[in-house]
Amino acid sequence: MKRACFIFLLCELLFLCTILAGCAFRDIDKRFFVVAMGIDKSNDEKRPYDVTLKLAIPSPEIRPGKANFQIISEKADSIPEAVRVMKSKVDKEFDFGHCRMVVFDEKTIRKNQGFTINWFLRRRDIQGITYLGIGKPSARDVLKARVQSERLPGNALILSFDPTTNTSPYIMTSMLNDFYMRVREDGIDPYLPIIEPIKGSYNISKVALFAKGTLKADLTRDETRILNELMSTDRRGQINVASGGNQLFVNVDDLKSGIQVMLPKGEKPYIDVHLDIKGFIEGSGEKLATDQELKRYEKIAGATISKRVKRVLKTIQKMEADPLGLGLRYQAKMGATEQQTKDWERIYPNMDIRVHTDLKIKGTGTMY
Amino acid sequence: MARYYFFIILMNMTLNIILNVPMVLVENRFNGSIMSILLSIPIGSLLAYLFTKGMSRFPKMDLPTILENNLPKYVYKPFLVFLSLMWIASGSFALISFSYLIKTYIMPEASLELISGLFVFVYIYGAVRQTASLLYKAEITMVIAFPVVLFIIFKAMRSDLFNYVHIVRMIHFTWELPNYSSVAAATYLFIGYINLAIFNRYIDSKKALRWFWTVPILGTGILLSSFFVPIGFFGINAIGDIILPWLMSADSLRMQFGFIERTVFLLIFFYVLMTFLFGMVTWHIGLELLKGAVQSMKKKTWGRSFLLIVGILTIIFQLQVNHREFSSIVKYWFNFRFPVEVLLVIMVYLFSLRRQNV
Amino acid sequence: MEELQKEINCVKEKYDNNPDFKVHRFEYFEKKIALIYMKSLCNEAQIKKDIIEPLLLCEKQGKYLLHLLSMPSCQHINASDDVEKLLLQGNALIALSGEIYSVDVRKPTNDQPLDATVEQTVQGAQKGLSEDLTMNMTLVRNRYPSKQLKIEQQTVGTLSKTRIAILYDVDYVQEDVLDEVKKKISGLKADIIQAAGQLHNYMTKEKYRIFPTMMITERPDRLALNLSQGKVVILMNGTPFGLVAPAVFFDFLSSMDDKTLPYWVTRLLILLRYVGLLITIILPSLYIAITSYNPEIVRSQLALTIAGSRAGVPYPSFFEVLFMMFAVELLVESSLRLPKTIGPTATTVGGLILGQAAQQAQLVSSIMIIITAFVAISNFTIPINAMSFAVRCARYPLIVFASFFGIVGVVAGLILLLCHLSDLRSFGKPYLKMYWGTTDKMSKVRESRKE
Repeated sequence: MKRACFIFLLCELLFLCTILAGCAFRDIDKRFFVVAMGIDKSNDEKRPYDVTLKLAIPSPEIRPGKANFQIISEKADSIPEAVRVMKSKVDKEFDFGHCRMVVFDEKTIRKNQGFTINWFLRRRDIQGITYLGIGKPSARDVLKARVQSERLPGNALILSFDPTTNTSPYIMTSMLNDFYMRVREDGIDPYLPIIEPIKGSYNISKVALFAKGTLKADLTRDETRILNELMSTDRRGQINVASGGNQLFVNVDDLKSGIQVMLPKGEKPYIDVHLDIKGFIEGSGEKLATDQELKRYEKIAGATISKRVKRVLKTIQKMEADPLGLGLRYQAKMGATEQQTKDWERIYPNMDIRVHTDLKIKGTGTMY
Repeated sequence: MARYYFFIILMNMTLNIILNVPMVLVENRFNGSIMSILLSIPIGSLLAYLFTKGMSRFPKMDLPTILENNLPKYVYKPFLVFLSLMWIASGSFALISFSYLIKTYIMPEASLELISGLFVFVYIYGAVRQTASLLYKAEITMVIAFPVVLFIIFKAMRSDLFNYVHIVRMIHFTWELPNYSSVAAATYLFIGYINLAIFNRYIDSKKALRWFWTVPILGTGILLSSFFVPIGFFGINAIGDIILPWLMSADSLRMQFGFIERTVFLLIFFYVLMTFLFGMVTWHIGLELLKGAVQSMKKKTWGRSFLLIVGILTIIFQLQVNHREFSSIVKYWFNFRFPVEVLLVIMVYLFSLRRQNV
Repeated sequence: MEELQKEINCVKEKYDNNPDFKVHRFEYFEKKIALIYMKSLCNEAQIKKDIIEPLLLCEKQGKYLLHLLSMPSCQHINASDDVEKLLLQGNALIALSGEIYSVDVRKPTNDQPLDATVEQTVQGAQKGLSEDLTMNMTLVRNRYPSKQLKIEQQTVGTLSKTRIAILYDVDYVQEDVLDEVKKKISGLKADIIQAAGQLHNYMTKEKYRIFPTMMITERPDRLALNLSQGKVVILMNGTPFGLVAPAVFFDFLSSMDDKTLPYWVTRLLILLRYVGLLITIILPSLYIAITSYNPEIVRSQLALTIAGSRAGVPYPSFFEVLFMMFAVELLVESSLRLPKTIGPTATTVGGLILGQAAQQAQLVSSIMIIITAFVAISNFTIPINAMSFAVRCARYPLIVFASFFGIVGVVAGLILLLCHLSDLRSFGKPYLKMYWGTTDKMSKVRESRKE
């Protein structure tokens, strides 16, 4: 009797499983994975947000270039509204859990960044490690681009921004949580990489800087690289040091940057940048046989690098942008109240910049 | 058996980020949180030391027996009931805050009642086990979970997005007067020792005292990291916008080589383990204390139905309040809990002195 | 004497119809001699050799009696002895000039050590226990030739009267465990007990039990090792398995090979088993949780692959899992009972054809096939069969939890399992508990005996 009861209960439980599982139970094939989002500014005054979603169409076999996706877009007065309207355009529920890329166009992100990204921060399923970028000419064009090597839809961009798979020093990575911190804190400014679709791939080599809450200007490719190196990320590359008639390429093994805000008493405050570079020579027009020659080139190249870095920092300073967080360093020295923030805004545009480079050439590769 | 003492203390320390301790500290970050943290380390350690020292004079005895021997009947029985409710409340608060967390991060589509119902079920199942079994379970859970938590803290500090500059900026706010609620919240980290009230039956507290010096060290490390690491990620202003700073910080991390890519899930899973453990321990002790006061609770069905009622009340309470109200209630509770804790510790210590004289 | 005679007559009447009841009468020394025995239980060759042949050689009655009494198993029966019981235990009774003697001439059954088939080792001993209690005691004694080894014999089962032996080392044994074992055996209420597992079932309080709290083993070397660790061993007549108490969770994941292989190899193998245990318990439920509740947990690549392979599957994930788990359980169960010659066919049909076809017919996803195989294989890494069965059972509640609560349900289920395990006691010893270093201490040779 008891055993029959037990078996009956078990059957009941299984039956309940099938019914009750309706509430939060949704199989993976009943979800539409949003792999990237694009936010453009539309011409419509009433519905300024033009939201584009890139939806992955999963297939059992994965081959390069066979990444299937679907693009849908909608104009609305806000991002959540647009997403809600778009749900009626597809057959399955959206899942933002794998949305690792959000692209804005320049006009949307120009002002009020905190408000624009608020929806992304508030939603729990959008990861804090989502990459952000600016799409040129528009975010939709970036999402639409089909990359030849792509195995999974939207993966190419993510791989390019991931410093473990792509170490190019021209690509600057901006993540959602970090971006938010930069927007909210005084003394550090956000930046966003610029993504341009080209045929069969993307070109990501420039960065747009913000200052005082607005989008200021883009840096050129070389300026971007130097800024990236100063941010002391893991991205490494070659440095071309033309000295005299000789083109010298140094492959950077290790780059350490020390940036300090110096406030000597009675003197003008200045920014002290110290670069420690270790590397090997990858290309040289001349034969480098002796130690003296290496030492000489170290010195020349070091001076060239210092000059370049200084030029880039001056450009950034002129924009009044502060992606390196110099203001934070000032606050760390002086205190973090409003008074210090005002002081910093006053002194930053006129600060001197002193750069010192320590270049160590460790070897010349397989040839002299 | 002395090692279980440290596992229980460790459990309370690591779990603080769920129990809204950083919430209080972050709120008062410009008004003396750092000073309060610095103050709470000696206060918490001292309380822990006195209580452990006191309990070590009563080998193999639990709090109900000690109170019974030292206080008149009409004092100790209501006091035990009161203490039992305090314990159960701390477990219930953990339950409520964690089910909010689960709802936001893991199961946005499930209803809160369902999640809390699961928690209540697991809590009760664990709480009615034998006391020694809970200790074994605590050890196993902590041995599994604590290294992962350490790993996440380590990974956070090594992250590119972690800026030490923010912490240096924060330290400028050290010289503020400490405030009571921050101290009350920060001392909550050290509260694990109080579970000796029942576990003293099995834990050799005299032996535990020999290793007591690890408690302030661990406490300092965990308290500072739980306060400063999120600030390193979000800065001193943005941190105020976030309800659960630690989870957002963990979400800034990515495990390139892990099975799970988002670190925040790893954190949540291991905190689920510890929250369940915490709830079981607190409810178990609450029940055992009640058994000391009310004889009929010793019956299996009575004890179980008592916990079931408590669980249902917890769920009802959760449905009644929204998250903001809940947070402020927890804050009041922290403030209220601290004097009770001090009172209990002093009481036990005085009893132990008397025992020595006899 | 008359009483005895009466009793024999009584027995004779009772068993007269039975063809195997023999009363053999003849005359010698000018006296009547009667030989009474159960033919089916006794070795007639031995009767001839030990009882009848000496009779012919002896010329005097006194000499013959001397011979009879000199046999180790011979006994002069007093009135109080239960004649019927002696007969049923395989003794031959000799009635000679009013006196009755009994001689043990039991026919041994299956007293050859069997090959260890359930719990094999690569390079350890290859023979297990036999089905005969005496032989088993011999085997254990041979491996544990200590004067401290104590053997206590008794019978269990009101009808089966199965002979069992309790073995322990007097110096090392944990007294509380021994007392509890004895108490439980004396309190047994069962008619027929024929197998070690059955005895185990009767000896545990909990009726609804999943995990074994006594070790069932067929290896005499494990028995000897456990004796030295202070455990109590119960051997039973008619089964090639012995019971060991107490046994904790970790014992069930240890193989006798762990003692013969080098240190790091052993550690690796042990780690492998624990990983296998974890996989076999949580993988099916994890699949449900990930595909139906939280696909954002895994990497995008994996999520899209699962979504792609599940695209054509019409049923929700827990049906898929239950279906495949059911198929595997059927496969295991059927190959257990099948004769060895048909076994491989079942595996081929079930495993290869069914799995392949189910995937091609889009009844299950290809990821699920991998998971099924993975789960089944890792289940087989658990060295003790009783535990392996228990683990098979334990994963179904987890599947239910996962289909209700997703990944939180899986964690909650694991916690409940942990609670259950750490709350179990094996004869007073905690079942699941961290033993820091004590196992090493146990296996170390103790030069000096316990004080």
